[in-house]
Amino acid sequence: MYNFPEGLYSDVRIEKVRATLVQYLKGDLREMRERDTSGAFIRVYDGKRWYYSSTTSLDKVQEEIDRLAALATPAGAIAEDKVVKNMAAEKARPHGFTGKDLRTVTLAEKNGFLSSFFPAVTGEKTITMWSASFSDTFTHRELYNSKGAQSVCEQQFCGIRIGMTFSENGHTFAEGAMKAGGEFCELAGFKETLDKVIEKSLDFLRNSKRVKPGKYTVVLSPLAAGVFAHESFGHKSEADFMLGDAAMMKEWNIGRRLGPDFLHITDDGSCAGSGFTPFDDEGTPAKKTTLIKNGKLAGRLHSAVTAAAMGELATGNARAVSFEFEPIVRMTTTHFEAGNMSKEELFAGVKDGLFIDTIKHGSGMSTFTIAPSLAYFIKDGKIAGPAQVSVISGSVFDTFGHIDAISDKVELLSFVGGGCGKMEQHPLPVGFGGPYVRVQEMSVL
Amino acid sequence: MTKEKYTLIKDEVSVKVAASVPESIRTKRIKRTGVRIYKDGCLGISGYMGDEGEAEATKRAEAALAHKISYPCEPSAALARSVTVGVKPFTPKELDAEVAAVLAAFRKDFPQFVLSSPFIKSGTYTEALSNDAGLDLHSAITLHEFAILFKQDTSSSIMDGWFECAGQKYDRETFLAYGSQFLGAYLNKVSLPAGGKLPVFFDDNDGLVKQIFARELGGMTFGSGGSLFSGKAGQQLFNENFTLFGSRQDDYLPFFDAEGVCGEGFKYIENGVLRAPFCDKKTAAKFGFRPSGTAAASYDGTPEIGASVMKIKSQAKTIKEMLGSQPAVFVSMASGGDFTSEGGFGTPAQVAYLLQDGKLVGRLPQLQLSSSVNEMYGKDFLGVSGDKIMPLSNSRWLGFMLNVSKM
Repeated sequence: MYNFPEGLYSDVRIEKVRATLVQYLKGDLREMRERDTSGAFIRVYDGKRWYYSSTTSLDKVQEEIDRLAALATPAGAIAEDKVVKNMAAEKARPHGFTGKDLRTVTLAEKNGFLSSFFPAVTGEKTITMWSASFSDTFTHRELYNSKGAQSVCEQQFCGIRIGMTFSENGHTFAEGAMKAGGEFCELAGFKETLDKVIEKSLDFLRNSKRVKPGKYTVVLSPLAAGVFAHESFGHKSEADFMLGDAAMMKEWNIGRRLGPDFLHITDDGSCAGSGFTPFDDEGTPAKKTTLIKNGKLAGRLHSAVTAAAMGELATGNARAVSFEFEPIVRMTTTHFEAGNMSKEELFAGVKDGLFIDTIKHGSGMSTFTIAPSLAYFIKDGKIAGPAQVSVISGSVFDTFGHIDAISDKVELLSFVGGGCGKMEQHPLPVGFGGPYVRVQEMSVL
Repeated sequence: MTKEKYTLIKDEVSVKVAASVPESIRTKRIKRTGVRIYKDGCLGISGYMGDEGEAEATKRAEAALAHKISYPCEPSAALARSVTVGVKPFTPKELDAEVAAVLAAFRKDFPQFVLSSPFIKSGTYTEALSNDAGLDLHSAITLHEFAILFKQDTSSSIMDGWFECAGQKYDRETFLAYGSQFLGAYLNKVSLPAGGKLPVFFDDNDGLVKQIFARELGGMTFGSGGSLFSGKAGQQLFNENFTLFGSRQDDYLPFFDAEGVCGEGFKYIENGVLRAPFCDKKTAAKFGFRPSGTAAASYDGTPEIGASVMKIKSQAKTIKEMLGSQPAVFVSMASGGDFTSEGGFGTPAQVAYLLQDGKLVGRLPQLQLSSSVNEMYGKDFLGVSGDKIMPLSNSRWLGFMLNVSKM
């Protein structure tokens, strides 16, 4: 298909996307569009340096390959380079999506579905501001490389989100309801989700009290635990952060104990949902990677490049947000596995603490932070009223040592309208979730 | 019927750095064009990428009028202006050589650090908005962004700190001197000054401490009564030295917004008095506000409220004059903080330095900072310095008295 230059490794990623967006602001239609985009990302590697180009001119891909090749220095034994050896070489079976093609659902149907939830919002007088959106994407990706690999992958995803601001007696509170899935029919049941969010938000608006800053026992919901796993640990497990870094490699010594025996964390690109990545953007198929097993470090996330540098196998985690960017090591669906007790037992063990139900955002490096939205006091094992919390934070590895309970059921969640940010690439769809997780001595502001 | 074209062109070269050496070079030329059709109070939009596709996009935009997306405002008209700023961007070879030279200098002077960068970029960013009502606006801005992440070679963190210079000019010696100040100060561990409540400074472009205004001064939220500040226009809510205004120039943005409104200097808060929210034309018309020149839109999207250009008016005093001999905290990295729905503020500060006589002199431990919007921008507001944090960028020192404790 392309003439790949001798003495160099090259690959071409073609991406064609159909995206739909229907958006309302306080009942007023703001967007209703179907967008078709296409572009290519080209990589050339000479054994020492990578040369990249992104372009929207699909008819000029060969020119770009040749232009990048002119910048590079061909190496006679490029096929023996350990990075190149790690790249896919097979013609993979095309990977298709399952279910009804989202492109066959009309804009009118999507709009009608979204609009059907408006009465629940407009009927609540304390909601002074609200927005609603339906979005979906159908993505067709092709990958070709100079080793002969070819893969074609098609994916689709859709979701609905309603954001609301509640106001009463000079107090305000903002919260949102969301549901997402690979098929339109997976959005059924959103009304129940929406009603529950409105009910919780009203309670928070009317009854929440500011928490006194300090150290607390904190119970994280599956959503908050998912963000915690992602921010506190997932990013540190991305191997590109370890390259050429002896101190990091020493800390990331496989087998190092981090937490209790019932602590396990995995990343799995084959999980259905917003982190689903059947093939990554280098052509490596998805796999389940165990990052922590029985409380000990067990693995890390790789691209072909980082795996080669560390003498390990690629894990299917080389991802790019779009054709404009190079693939870098990213998570897919990262979560705690099921733990050691029931949810009820986990709460019962808290005398004076906090429950983090939903979050606004999270971030993580050596110190992770989560900004809660809906949070609650826990007294003697029971929810004891809503709590205003600015942020919870802690040292990543210290906090694992403070986990003393994980519930025995995993709930995975999918999202639209946001995602993970790393370097300049944001937002990348990822999956979160997990069980309920109890952490002692969490710093709370 | 009015037809309008909105064109965005990104022409950029970037170098990625890993383990203190350049790892890759990337070139990018992406052109996106939106076609807008205004007719009978409605707006139809479509778009295309690359150079070809206007005729088809125009047909789709006309068809999109059937969606009845209301736009009860006149498109901007009868204004022609073209502004080009910045010197020419680096070529791929030039940028590669420059990055190599910078890294070599830092490696020589600070061998105890491992340096990386997700992007060192140089490019020209073009925006144009024109219509058949006589609007013809064109902006081309050349920017150089040099961001360096660093960590000590003994550190097991992903990164220990960072420094950045983003501006229309670049000078190697100035950037090296600026970076050396951070790296040198990082090596000197110092204790947190006593006091509990301390002067704490941020880069005035740091969105963290201004996000409360981005959240609460949106015209729809404000006009609908859902903002902390709803119904308080005209009231003295904050310190009389606090003036919050819009400046696209300081943010290296085109002089016009996505609706062709030029709102440089639009005041949201003036001398502590709440003046106005930020609005696009449609929101402004709905509530009787003025458009603030901050409308944002994707190339093929409806213009909507945007708030990315809020600046705080600086004072005549330099940072040295603001502080005298008093030590202060400079927050270089504070990730994850937020304001509560009631205006309470809390954030960890992962990387903070001791600021003395206008210079970074040492690295403080990780901190917890807290306050509230009323206190920060009221009695505890220290202001924005007249001098820049570094000469090549537009960043200034923004200070508050905050509750500070060790993490």
